[in-house]
Amino acid sequence: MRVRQAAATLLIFVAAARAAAQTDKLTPDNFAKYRDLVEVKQGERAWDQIAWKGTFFDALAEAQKEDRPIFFWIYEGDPRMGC
Amino acid sequence: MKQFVPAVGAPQEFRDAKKNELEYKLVFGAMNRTEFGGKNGMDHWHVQGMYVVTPSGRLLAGSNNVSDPEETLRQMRKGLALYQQLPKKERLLPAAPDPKTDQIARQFAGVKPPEDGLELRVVTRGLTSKGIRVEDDTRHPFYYKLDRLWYKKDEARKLLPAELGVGARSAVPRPLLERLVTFNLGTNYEPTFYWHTEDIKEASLVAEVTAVKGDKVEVRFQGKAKLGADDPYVRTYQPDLIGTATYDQKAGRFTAFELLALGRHTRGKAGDDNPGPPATTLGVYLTLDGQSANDRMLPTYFFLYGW
Repeated sequence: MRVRQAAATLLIFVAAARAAAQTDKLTPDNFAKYRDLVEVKQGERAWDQIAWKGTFFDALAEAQKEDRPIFFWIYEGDPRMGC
Repeated sequence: MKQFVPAVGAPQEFRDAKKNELEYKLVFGAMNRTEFGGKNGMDHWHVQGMYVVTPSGRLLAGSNNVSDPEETLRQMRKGLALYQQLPKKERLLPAAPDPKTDQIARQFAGVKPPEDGLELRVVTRGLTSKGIRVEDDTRHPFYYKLDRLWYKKDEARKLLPAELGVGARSAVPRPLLERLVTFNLGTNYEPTFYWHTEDIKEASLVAEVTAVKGDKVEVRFQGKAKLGADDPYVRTYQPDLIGTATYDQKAGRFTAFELLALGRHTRGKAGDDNPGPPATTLGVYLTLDGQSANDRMLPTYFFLYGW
């Protein structure tokens, strides 16, 4: 099975090498263009305007004190990053 | 959002808990009433989504939806209305929770970024949209993922040549380069996983001093990597790396930093049902982390740093 998977990896490398010719190579001249494509845009940061409590307990303490419901966002890994 | 107290959480925190803490019982009780209840997921803490929960632990609204803002708003309004209808003694705990006894222990609670170190924010985003559906493939450019990369103060200095004169060049030391490559280059991209050291077929990053202006040293970075794995997922990534930075010799820290990795990423299709083409263009951008409430977070793979 590992030999088959290693062969699959090699085939993908060959395909990638061919496909790479279709993509701009990163250079100082096109750095800004690709950086701006990757970087987070202003309109994509709405969630970041919220001061999320890092744990349910921290929210619990404040919610109990302030008599407010908890809005709980649960995801594998920290939801504010990546999964 | 001002009518709520917003919080984030990860199932893994609760899998590792003792299970007798008040925090554990409240969250388990609420999440067990979601679509993931019981054998649908909560028997091993497979749960995700956005939910409205009372401090007393009662689930009021929510669902496994993070991509439909209108639906999320409906659930929030529903939850708020139900909360306001509940008597106080039902929506609140009988007493304030005790941080000494009521919260679950978290492995890296209290861990802070390294003092005077280099804290980088990492953005990962696919740049190929042809043949990729935004509905079912997070490699679409619509999505981005965040992570962090940390270097201690002395490690950060070692990213640069020993002598900081114009024209000085040096390769980034292998252990420091490996942390960047194995934990951040293409790791927050389907299939999401870090690289093993043996997956690094080739990696290089060279720093060159381009200018010295008083205490400020300007450098450029150039390099490339070739990564390939078949365990636990078949994938490859071959980026070029280019960047610039400014190091303040007097302060002993970076005051500006940009590094971009760009290249072809592939994932195998053998034995899986992943949608979309196997090959895409993937970009990873690293820059100085911010100071907001959601910045300076623990890197995803901090538990592998060995600190």
